[in-house]
Amino acid sequence: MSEPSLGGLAFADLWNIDFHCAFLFEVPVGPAEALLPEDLEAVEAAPGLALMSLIHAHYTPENRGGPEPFDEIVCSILVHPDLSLDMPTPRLTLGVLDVWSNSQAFVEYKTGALGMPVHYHPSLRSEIAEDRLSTKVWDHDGPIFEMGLGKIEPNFHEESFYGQYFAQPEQDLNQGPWRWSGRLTEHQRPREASSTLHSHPFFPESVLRGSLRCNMQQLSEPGATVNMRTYAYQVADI
Amino acid sequence: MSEETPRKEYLDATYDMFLGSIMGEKSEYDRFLEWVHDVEDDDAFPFETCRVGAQRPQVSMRRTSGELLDVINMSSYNYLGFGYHPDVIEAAKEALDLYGLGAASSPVHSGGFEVHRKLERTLVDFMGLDGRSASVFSSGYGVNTGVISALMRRRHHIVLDRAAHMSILEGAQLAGSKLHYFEHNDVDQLREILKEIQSKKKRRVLVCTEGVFSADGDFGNLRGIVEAAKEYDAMTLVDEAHSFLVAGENGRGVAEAHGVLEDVDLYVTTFSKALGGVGGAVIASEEMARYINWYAKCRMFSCAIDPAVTAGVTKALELGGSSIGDERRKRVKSNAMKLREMLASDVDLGVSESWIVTVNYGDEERTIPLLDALQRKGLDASVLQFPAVPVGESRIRLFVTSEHTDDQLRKAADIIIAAANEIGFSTRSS
Ligand SMILES: Cc1ncc(COP(=O)(O)O)c(C=O)c1O
Repeated sequence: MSEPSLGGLAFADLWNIDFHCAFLFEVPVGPAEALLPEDLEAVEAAPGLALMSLIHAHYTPENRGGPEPFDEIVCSILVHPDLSLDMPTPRLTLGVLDVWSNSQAFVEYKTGALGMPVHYHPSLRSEIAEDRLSTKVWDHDGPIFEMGLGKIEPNFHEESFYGQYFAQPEQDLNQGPWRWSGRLTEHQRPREASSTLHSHPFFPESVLRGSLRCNMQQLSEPGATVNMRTYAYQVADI
Repeated sequence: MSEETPRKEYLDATYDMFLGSIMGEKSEYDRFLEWVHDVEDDDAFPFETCRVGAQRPQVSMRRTSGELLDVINMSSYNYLGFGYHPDVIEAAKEALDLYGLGAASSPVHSGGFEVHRKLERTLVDFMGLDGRSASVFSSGYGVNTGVISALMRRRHHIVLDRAAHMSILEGAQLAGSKLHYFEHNDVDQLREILKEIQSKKKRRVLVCTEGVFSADGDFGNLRGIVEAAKEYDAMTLVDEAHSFLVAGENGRGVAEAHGVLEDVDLYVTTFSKALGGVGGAVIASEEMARYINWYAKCRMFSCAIDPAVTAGVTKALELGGSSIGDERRKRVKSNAMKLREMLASDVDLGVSESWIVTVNYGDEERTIPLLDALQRKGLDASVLQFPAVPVGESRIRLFVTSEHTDDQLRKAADIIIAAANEIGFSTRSS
């Protein structure tokens, strides 16, 4: 069944994600912008502070990466959107720095379908806690990150929001819209959340030198499936 | 200067020389104060004198020495005399009785009063533009810093007339956008810059200029600038601080006089000049004004303009839109013309064309003795020197109002000419 387009870009895929953890970390704006393509501008949450988004998504086997369940980790800097795209106001716009996955099929498909820098890392592993409120991710180089609600009391509810991304895997700066829907709990409680980002090749060293206060925590409900809709991408004319 | 009176050291220093030290100590404060004291001890120049009454054409002012001087006032912006108009004062008093002293909150929280809405409506009606709204600020300076930094970001471009006011420049710096400058009123250079920007990435571009430039008293070349901006799909911000209510047939500024009022995206005015109050506003499309209300940080995070001033300014605007406004607009222009004629053969009047009449006196070391001489002879004028203007291009600014009498204009001209002869900047060949 074909779904409507978004921002003038044709619907492409509906991804089913059975664990979705997205945290934002405060990083110094200078180093953050230095990592972005020249045309993008980091959102300054407060003077001098940009936001780095870190996502761990665990996909169900029926997705294009199957037959086994697989993982994806995404590191981005939040940037200003392109409001000339005719779509509802994007809540988050990701300036994607890097995407890793342990499914080769997923990497191949997503690279082509979304115009993102998706890299195959077969040794990528994750351990989602039994209560599904925290996650640990590592590979053969060692631990990458741990993120969890910690002492935060979750408050799961239905949510749906729109976003955009920009990515520059090679020469062109690509852009596309997305839509997230599912049940999640969302907080801004840096002191109660628990997170550790390790010094690891996945992270640009320059951003890890900042205070890395965890600005926001989003986590999907245990047992519920998140739907992520993606659309055709285009070369950004900005 | 005669042999017996050695030149005072403080004359060699000017206020712009007291720059901060790169080291840890804070000696610039001490040095500046020492210089002020040296000047004051000689009663050579009064820093920050106080008025003892309203900004009328003739005022009494108290120098720091305590001495009271009666002077012709050509250093206030009260161009149409509305700051002390009885109806304006009455309206302010009524609002004071009704609302009390202050707004006591940000305009986007609980600091909005009915007088604020009335002022917004009166501004929009006065401008006669459909589909526009006004966003009111507690200072004219804040309009520029707030509006520019709300709408423009780092990847955007701001193109400024080199003579633009500090508040525009600070707004542009705050936005962090890429800044470009064109020489004062140079439309050809503006076009080149816009063309160059357009040849690159599709980006928001804002061109900033003014109606009347307060340093030179000349008009912004608004027709040319606004047309060029439109051609290249750039937005325009025109600061009509010194021209609102005065220039144009209906007082809608130089943009009205140049026939480009409808094409100006962000029309900025202050309430501190011809309206005789304090505060400012931007008149923009309804969508933009509403966005600015919430995204101009110095508006959101600062208390709303006080209700009494708001009511007074509204009344001044109503008067300005009536036949009283028409009369006073005519008079201020003819007064400026008369003063220029009285001065023309004795001093260098620069490029001034407006109600800000400039008299060039050149060397900034003349500033202290000149201002002192003017005051003692009975004229209070404003001076500009480096760094506000280039070195050696110091000038007196005479803010002419509709309420100056012919006699006051004549006396002021005589005082300037006498000072020019004494201090040595007369242009009359003897
Ligand atoms: C061109 C211009 N814009 C803005 C301002 C600031 O206005 P206000 O004094 O009302 O804050 C001034 C003040 O002199 C000005 O000359």
